[in-house]
Amino acid sequence: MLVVETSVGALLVLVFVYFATVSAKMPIADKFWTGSGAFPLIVSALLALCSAIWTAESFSRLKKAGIRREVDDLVKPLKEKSGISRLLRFLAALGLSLLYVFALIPWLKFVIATIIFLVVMSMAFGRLRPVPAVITSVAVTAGIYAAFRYVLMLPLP
Amino acid sequence: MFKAFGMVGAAFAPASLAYLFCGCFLGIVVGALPGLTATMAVSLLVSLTYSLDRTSALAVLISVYLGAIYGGSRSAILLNVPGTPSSAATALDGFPLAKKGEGPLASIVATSVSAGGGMFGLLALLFTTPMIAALSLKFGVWEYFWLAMFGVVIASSLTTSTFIKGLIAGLLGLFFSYIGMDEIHGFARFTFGRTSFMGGISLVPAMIGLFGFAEAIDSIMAPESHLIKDTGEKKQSLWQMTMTSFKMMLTPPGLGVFIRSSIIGTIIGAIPGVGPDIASWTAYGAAKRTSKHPEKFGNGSYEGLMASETANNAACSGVFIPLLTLGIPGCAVTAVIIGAMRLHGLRPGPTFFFDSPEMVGFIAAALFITNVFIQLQGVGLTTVINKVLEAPVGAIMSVVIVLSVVGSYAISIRMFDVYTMLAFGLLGLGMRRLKIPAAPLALGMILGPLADLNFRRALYAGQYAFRPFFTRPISIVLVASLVLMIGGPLVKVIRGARNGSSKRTAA
Repeated sequence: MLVVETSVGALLVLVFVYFATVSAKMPIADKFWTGSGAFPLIVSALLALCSAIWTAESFSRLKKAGIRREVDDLVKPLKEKSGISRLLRFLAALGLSLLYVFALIPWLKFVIATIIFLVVMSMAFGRLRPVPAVITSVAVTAGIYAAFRYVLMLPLP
Repeated sequence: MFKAFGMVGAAFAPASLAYLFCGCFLGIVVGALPGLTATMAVSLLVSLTYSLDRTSALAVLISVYLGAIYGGSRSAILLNVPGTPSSAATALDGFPLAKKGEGPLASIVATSVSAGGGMFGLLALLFTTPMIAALSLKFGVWEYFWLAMFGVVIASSLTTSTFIKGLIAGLLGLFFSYIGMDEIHGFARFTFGRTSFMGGISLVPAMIGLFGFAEAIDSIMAPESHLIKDTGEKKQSLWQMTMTSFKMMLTPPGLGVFIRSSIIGTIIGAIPGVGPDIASWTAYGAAKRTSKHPEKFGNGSYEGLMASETANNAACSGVFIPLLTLGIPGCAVTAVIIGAMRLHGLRPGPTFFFDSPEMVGFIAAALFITNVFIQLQGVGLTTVINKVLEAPVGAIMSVVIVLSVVGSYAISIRMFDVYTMLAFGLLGLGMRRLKIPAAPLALGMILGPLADLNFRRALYAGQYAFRPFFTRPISIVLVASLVLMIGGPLVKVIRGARNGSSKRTAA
């Protein structure tokens, strides 16, 4: 993970140096320090500084631990069955969630989309059998629908 | 003075009790659900209470507010998903306790100290309001700026053993809060020409993503992270756990934590514009610093849990001090409550105690009764909630994902907030991998506007001088606290770097 930390830290330094320059160029009404860019400049500069310290710290620990060893440790879980299983579960859960928001809800509307989503998720990750999964999903969806539409009177996506 | 108690009896009338009971229950449910917040619940109910008389309307709003702030602790403890921003500190120790098999006891301890903290805040409201109101008036724009920075730094320093990561998270939160229109000059900051960014990044979808969605995906990936250890010990009954919680609260070291956190919560709640979020973190920090076992904090410390929950509920009563005496909201929810009071012909402010003393008595009684109901309902719901949470983690977290989508959408009825929630969820997942805490980021987003606006207002007020930031009495105290909080870890980092380089030189 030190490899990732060092890389992310270095990237953050670049990103926040960029945002600091953007902040410094924001329009000034009277004095710079009362302008729109003043506090964002301070925060961006502090972020760049903290990221630089983090990068330096991580790099120093990475050198001590050995870069090759750290890369091997990073990749090792992906060579093990449990690591692959976790990665697949992660990708599946994330993928299904994104599918739910970007595809199911726009095409099928909230109620049907949610029932389908919950059935698939309960069977895949909740270890429920098909019939209990469908019953539970329909009940939960109905409950959420009733609570939001009739009690809180809020529209659903 | 006796006129103030004229309406106390009205709070005990059957209709008022019913409204308080139902409001408290609704608040607890809303607060416990990751997609919903206390502010949302109270905002929605304002229009619904228009048809009620003023006492019933106030009863509903007050009980929903207190119930929701308390309710946030349930999902924080049992799911590691804070239901409200002020429960983020509760999750730090509540969830590890739940994993050790002490979830029910932790929930009941949270219930008892919440009710106790609320009662303490109520007593402060009744007896010390003029003093606390006077103290809160001494806070000028300079002090608000430092208070905001103090809140960010304290959350950064408490949530992780690596201070620099916590600070990055806090500063990142500040940065995200500046996306959108600048409130003073109306300039669009970091929007890159996109109109959807003009309104800024809403706090609630961001928090739902960081805590709710990220936790849900993480738990599905690694369900063993939610495995509850079976200690094999005989389970205590609700009554036994309630008595245990009272014992913890009323004997050392819990008694010290409770009193200190109640005072901190009440005072911070009384500072306009601050609210329970910063109160819970400040109390948590104070408890950790004074504890004989600070190493337990973050790993399942009852002291940490008690500090956070006591302070955030004490703050809920504390926010009524500036509300009633100065007509200034203590937090977003009380801003809504002020609106509701005005709808019903009440004018909170300096003359409120003289014009409507009977309402002061009613509000105090409503706070008292709600805290009693929190204790009763909180204990009573423990078994039900724990039964629900015995379902497979994958199934529960699927519902959390649905509620995250629905809750994000409900804020402003736009899909952009749902996309924000997803983006922050991915950010939250990345931060977990890198062991960067999410709580300082959330607090940074809450306090960012407070810091920025007051920084610039202070410069305007002081004729562009920076000196008042460092010379006003309360500012000096806040700056000194900040320097101590940052200085200690910085010295450690520098010493660590020096030891590392001297070892390499010796080698």
